[in-house]
Amino acid sequence: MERNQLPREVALMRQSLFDQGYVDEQFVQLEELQDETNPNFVEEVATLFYKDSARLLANIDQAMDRTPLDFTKLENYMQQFKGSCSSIGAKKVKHECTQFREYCRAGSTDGCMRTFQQMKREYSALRKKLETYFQLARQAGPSNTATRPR
Amino acid sequence: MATTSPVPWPRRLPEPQIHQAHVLAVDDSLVDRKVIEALLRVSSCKVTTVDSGRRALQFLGLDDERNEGGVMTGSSSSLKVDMIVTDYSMPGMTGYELLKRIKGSSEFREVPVVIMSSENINTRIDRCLEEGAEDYLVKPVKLADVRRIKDYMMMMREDGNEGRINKRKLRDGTDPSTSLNSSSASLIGSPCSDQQVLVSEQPQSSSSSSTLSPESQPPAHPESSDSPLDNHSTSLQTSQPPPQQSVSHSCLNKLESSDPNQSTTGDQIDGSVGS
Repeated sequence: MERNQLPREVALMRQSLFDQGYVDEQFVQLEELQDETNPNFVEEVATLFYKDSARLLANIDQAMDRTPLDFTKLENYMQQFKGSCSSIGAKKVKHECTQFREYCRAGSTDGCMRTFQQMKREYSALRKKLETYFQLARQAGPSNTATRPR
Repeated sequence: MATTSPVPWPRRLPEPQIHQAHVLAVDDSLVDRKVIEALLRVSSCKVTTVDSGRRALQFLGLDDERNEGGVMTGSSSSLKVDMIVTDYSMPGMTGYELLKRIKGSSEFREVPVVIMSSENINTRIDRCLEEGAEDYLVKPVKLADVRRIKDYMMMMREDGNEGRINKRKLRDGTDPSTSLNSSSASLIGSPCSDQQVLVSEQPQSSSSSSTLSPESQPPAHPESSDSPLDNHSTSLQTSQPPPQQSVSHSCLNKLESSDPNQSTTGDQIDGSVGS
């Protein structure tokens, strides 16, 4: 790819993250926190999110194997997870978390299981999208990532 | 911009401006800590983050027991927090309980406390406000929220509240706490001061919350070589460790951008310090 095409590619990709509902306005908030001293802030937060949530998700996984499901515990786990999703603007994943918690409240094992799978899919999909995006953004150079207006 | 300065390291004279607010942020979520820290830093605050109410109390010197970290030797007021922002739902001690402890203390009861929560529950909000919280932010926290709560600090400062660094004190240079407060910015505080006032400590003061990667630090900072405690766990993360105190915090810069330029406010990188 031509070097001079990169900025445009980055912008397009970024836009698609929003258009396709992967991220919401909180993502923009994070972008606003990027500046010269923190040029990769969004990527760092995203990385931290994935690293940190892996543990939580593993706990949820385990809890999902129990029978019967401990809905209260699951709901609490998911509450934490949802908080992180919300903080980074992970829109679709957050939506699945909300669904999951509703199924917990309804005591629906089936609903929980389905939603959990769906949530994991969204979680992975977002990660791939973000990885690609950040990589491209880095290649394009710091001037091409959204930064806080000075 | 200062032309010549006695400062040995070339960059980043501290901003000759008003006292840099020091905010203590409490949240058990690692991601949220990172975000709130950045939000505050970008809003020109120094930030210390801790992951629990208990750690917050330790930091403030309000915990009853002798803590494992051997935190405070000096008086707790030397820590000088201008505001505390805390998550509500935390294991162990909730933000509400922390709020009560703070408001129940003589040293810190005047410090504005802001609660953050992902839940928008009126009864909870009311309870917090009744207990003395300045505000209740619904997560995810945004820049606009932080700008708003910064005003609480301003307002309190203008009242000349006891125990708070204000411009007057800075100009006099008499506030003993400033000497312990590593914020060089606060030493230089007065807008009239000249740049040659030397910040012995951390020239790049201020709002940077990630702390101390060696390259950004003057050599005389043993604190900065604390082995970084695991960021995931529980330690304190502070923008500027008060020099006299062997605070058991980690001077972490792991996950943050390990950029050597802890900028002040992100607005001024190269000590483009006005006047």
